[in-house]
Amino acid sequence: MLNPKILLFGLCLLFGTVLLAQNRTITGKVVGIKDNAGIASATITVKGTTTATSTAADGSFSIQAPTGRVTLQVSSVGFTSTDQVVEATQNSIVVNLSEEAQQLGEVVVTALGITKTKKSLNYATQTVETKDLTKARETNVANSLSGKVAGLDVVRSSQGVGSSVRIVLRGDRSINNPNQSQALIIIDGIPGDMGSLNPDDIASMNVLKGSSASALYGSDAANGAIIITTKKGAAGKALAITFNSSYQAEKVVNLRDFQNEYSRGSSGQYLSNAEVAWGAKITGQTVRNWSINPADDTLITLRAHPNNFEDFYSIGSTFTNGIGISGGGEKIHAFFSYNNIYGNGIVDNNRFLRHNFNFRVGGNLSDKLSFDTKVTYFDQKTDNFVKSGEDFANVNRQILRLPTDIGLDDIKNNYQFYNVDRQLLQNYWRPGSNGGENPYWVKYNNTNSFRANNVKGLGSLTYKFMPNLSLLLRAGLNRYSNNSIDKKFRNTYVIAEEGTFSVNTDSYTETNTDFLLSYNTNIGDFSINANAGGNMKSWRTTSLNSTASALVNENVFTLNNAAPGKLASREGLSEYKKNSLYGSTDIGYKKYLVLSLTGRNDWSSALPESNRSYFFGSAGLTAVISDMIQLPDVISLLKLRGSFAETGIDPGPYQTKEYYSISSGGGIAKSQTNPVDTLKPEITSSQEFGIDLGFLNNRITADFTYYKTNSKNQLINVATPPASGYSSKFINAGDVENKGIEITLNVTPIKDKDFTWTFYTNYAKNENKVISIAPNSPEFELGDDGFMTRTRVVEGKPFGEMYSRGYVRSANGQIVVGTNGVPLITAGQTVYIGNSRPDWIGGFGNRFTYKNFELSFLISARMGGTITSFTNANIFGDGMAAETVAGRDGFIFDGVTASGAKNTTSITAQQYWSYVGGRNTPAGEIFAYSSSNIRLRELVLSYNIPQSKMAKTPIKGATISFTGRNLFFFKNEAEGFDPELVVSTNSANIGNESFSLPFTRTFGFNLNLNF
Amino acid sequence: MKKCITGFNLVTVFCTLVVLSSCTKDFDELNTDRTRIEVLAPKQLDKLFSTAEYAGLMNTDQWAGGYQLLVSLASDQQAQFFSCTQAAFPSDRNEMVGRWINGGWGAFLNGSTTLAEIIKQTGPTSAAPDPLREAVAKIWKVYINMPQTDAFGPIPYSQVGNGQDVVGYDSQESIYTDFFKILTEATTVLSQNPGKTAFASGDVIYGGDLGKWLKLGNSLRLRAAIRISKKSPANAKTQAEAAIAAPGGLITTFDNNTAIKPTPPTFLNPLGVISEWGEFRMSASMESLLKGYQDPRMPMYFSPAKNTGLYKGIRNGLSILQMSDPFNANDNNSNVVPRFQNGANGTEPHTLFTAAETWFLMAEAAVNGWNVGGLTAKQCYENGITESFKQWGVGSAAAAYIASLNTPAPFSGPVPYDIGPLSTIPVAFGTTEAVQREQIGTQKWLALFPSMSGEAWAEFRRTGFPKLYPRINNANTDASTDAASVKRLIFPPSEITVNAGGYKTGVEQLGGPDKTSTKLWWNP
Repeated sequence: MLNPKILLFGLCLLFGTVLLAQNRTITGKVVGIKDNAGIASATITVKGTTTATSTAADGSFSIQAPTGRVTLQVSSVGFTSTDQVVEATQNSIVVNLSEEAQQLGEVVVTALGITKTKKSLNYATQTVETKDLTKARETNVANSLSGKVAGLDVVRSSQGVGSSVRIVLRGDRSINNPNQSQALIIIDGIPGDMGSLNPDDIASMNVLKGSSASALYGSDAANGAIIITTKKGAAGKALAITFNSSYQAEKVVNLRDFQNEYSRGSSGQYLSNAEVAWGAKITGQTVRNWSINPADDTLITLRAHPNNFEDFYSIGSTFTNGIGISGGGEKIHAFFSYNNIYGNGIVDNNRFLRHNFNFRVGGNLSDKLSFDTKVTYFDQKTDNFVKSGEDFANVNRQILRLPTDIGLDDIKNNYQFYNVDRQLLQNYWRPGSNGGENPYWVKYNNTNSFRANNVKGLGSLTYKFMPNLSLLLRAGLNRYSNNSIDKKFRNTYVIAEEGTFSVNTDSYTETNTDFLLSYNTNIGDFSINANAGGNMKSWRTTSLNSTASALVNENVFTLNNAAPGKLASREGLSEYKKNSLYGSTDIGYKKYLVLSLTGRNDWSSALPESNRSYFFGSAGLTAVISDMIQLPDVISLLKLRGSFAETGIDPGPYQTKEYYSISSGGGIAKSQTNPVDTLKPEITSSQEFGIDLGFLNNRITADFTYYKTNSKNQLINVATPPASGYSSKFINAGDVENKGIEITLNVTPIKDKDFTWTFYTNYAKNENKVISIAPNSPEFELGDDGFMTRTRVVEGKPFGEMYSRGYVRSANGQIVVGTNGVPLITAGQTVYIGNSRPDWIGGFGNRFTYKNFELSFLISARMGGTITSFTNANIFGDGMAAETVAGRDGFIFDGVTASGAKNTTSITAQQYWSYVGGRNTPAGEIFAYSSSNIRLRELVLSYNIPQSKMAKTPIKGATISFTGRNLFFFKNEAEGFDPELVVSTNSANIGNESFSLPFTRTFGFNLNLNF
Repeated sequence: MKKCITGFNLVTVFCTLVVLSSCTKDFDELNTDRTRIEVLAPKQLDKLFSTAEYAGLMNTDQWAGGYQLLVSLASDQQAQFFSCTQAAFPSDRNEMVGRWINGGWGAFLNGSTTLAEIIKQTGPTSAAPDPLREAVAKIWKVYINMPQTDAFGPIPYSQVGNGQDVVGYDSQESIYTDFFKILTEATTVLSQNPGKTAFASGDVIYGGDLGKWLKLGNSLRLRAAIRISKKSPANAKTQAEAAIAAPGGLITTFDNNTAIKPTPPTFLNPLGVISEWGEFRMSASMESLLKGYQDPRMPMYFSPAKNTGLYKGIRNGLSILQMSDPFNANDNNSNVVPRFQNGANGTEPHTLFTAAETWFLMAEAAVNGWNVGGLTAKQCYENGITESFKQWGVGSAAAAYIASLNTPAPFSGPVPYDIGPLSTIPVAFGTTEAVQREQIGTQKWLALFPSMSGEAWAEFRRTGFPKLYPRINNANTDASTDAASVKRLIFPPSEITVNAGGYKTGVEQLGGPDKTSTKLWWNP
């Protein structure tokens, strides 16, 4: 046990030693030989000593050295190391480093934190440029990855600031588990998440796409992994402070087109209590007021309010401030950062406040023993998350359904009133409506707040038995606790007639303990790099959810105020453990052939005893042809790689036994899921082949990867006849295949002293095919949006097929109309309307550097796929959309009657749209769109203020950036909405838009200062 | 947090890792969900029976989901207890909404399979045979399955709970045959055990009173006998007479009426939950009868319209446009009384079988010429009305009503809603068989309100009584605006995918296409 006092004493001792041994300071700057730009994080060591430091962001450094002539060893990733002699009288130097001949000398962090040269890898990885993440900021870093990594698909839910994000690499694999297809996030060797990460803390981010890359992580990383390392201090380095401040403003761009010609009502008649806009043509006539407040029983002039939708939303803003402090003595280094984000959503009472603290201390306790410890604390408070989808408390839902003849100010100033009994009532034109509420009643009287706390702790010790043999011991703790409350005022129609109040708390605790023994040696032309390790992982989730579904005293929000019999509580508890042993070895021959083997055995608590232990592994081969044989000069790199891997995935806990559940109030219910006690792990096998190319001294680099994965033995909850006693059962079955290609291309067409132009592009096409699901089960229901669309997995088809109601068609495909002239709609949701997944995704980025200016932009494309809009089904059905103006006085629908004769019966637009649209039984076929979109996702202009201009200040470096995100669409076929904003990030809802927040454009300003 | 960093103990970590592969001993215990029950203790079976009682009525959650789908949106509309006022709902125009039928079917089978589990765990081959609990469960099995087979025809019955990928359907004939068999078995067991109880407080209907279950068993047997009387008159007579003469008797006084009690927060009065959503109002047929007969149950059943203070109903089968007509607006028409609205849904019992119905069943048996213990059809008919009036707290008005020559009122309103009286029959018992049958059917229909529309719809299809108004619109190509045109509900479309083999047997047993126009076995 290390006592903190002893640690402190040790620190003093170490600093004392430093002061005694050295008596001069050398300062300087490390710059690239080509562009003369400072190189950050270069390592400087005084030769023959253990004194070392690293450079600041601008390349500057300062190091203690003995008197007399010394040699400094200077190295940095991607540059050739150099020895620089410093004369006894010289105290200031500039060190020039030349770029390594091949950029692939670059070191990347791979599974288990093992660093390898990129050249030796047998699978595709892609490193994300971290400096972009801190300029064009997103509160969730994951949003910044769109378009930057080949094959990485990001969608987000529509909940305002702090929404969840779904990251999928190389397509969906898991049929049943909506989260299983997501990539694993590893932060400093421990599983984590991006939502709580401070972008300023990120030192590097590397995406391991295939399971061969991540086989060592086992089941959690079967869908690829994103490896993030965070910053740490550097030994022997003076205090460095960075400060970052950014302001981003978000503005609604209305993509929708509402009609402003007709009032509420029906059949051309104004009705003061109608929710649908099939009423009178608005000509300034006098009508009864909508308000149900008796004081407003007046007549008003009917007019349109074309800006209702845009005016409801405000300018959203995010103000971020962060500070990072790093420094270190000879042996101990530390890094501290604090980051604060204050955000205001476009619904202006949606607020967000986040604090991130990060404290990291590491260093050498002796020549052989080093340590690294980190504590991060994260606290986030969100007020009024915007509800999504069909939730009546979703304010978007209510504002989208606001008819044009009612003015926004009018409903805002008059959203509630007291009646003669002094009771607070909602003011809405159709009181008691099943689905309608005054938007401002929802905004101000249906409120929620959410608070998340997260503590992560990490401690590791590395002991070097010999220079080439070391042992790492590491323990990590990750603990989340979330608290949320939700309030709804009395007289919120249908969902809270008596007012409701709910309190939820949940917590998640994960511990990981692991060891890793690393050994490397060279025997003649052969090199061996071997690792062996083990991990014990356990997690536990608890939740407690209490809801008062009716309150006694009006609008007093405490559970104590629950009406008798109206308080329901639910407790959740889930525990899991997994033990693992694993090993890997890289055998190299003359540095141009590398054979990599990995193996891992897991013991999972979620599997029955007989199948608890399972083994899997990977094998890969890399050949650097350009090092093997002499190629023409124009080719600077030619590498071939290939690998095979198999990964096992265990199910979630508690799926092997049958249980009776206890409902709130003590009711006992039989399980509706038939369990299996012979569950086996799911197996994903993958193969990938790739070529890495470099031309013209790597001014042009290209990677090409082909992959194919098959996920078999999937744990599927298949539907069974409800009459059997179970509505579903678990089986091990299925085979989902993903194959695809990924291409990245980086070109630097111009590179001279002052001006550099680089462009990078990535493209990924994934073909998904469900080869089989289960015997007698050619279809599997992933889920539905409640009303319109069902998403299925269908044998022989790609993952995520969507079905809805649609037109009834005659044998030759014509639409059949009923005797009333209105087209017939299928009874069941049996019409195929498309697949929810994209065909290909890609990005095209450019970066121009001129002296101290840099301009970069990113265009991203997500092409193919279908998205259905429940919003449109409603606003078309209710006569709000501009398209519903045509045919109000009658039109003949182009179809045939049951007998096959051409339809001649005239109907009105209201008859048509209210039948095919609306909330309850819409025909999704009519409200389905291509989700293809191409957008200018990111634009950054930055200026590095030259050091010379700040010579008299303590500032060592300063960068100002102007940024824009989601600036505009080059192409968007979704009618009125952003197809990447979906109901939820559940795999069943990727193709469903439902009352989402409007599309927004973000502009920002960022200032970065280094001291 | 300090602890985590400094509490790092090299020795401990290393040792645990070395013994890694062997330390999976606690995995089984860890992988057992402690918030649920693996094996039910005998007493917990009683609580499971509560679930079977609620779910058997499709009241599976606090939103009464299944009840809304197969009662409120199906039999309530087909029996014309209520008219739909929700523009998004097409079912009152005879349209079949597959998603709703799927949902209601699943909710019912949740109850049906739970009950099958109870019968399994109490039956003669179980670990702890319990004939009394088994007998109660069998009576309940008949109660819940009857409205389902009456809605669909063949349904999964004998194979329910088989745990297989295919669950075959039983023909309606064989289901009714089994009803008589298990009712006879159960009532025999119960009649031999007077004064005993079963399921105790887990029985949210009778609190375990076996004497009352016996009466329900006998009464159900009479209900089933009358149902098959057109198709299988001889067997119907045998069963009916046996039921009437059976020990333990029938439910003949309103204080023995069957009702299920809510258990908040999960199980509420389903009508109370749904009536709150403003999706239906009194039907025009109901208005014609209650108004014309000056029925004192009117204020017990319905509230005056909010805007007008008048009792007013709405025609069934309105189009979306017609629903937005102020004439048909919720506030201009009658909702149920507050007793069946939200405020009382945690306490108001939901009625399942009434003495009035028993008397109307006996009245019909008497008209058929069967032995009803020496009573005449008129006596039974009048007893039925009297028991219903007592049940609704208007018993003192029964005598005058029974003698009344009032006839149904016209339904007045603008075109196309305006229509003459539903029928010409008075309340006072008629002299011809045709009038008597119509009177019995009409009064039974009134007495089944508001919670037994399944029975009312089945009897309307069988007898054609009461003579309900035609629908204003029909959107089902296999039906028409004729109130009796829908003969059944289609099988749930989900069965075609999840239980293809079973669905096939269902269509075979149906003896016709899976359409709403195919008549059921008892309805030749």
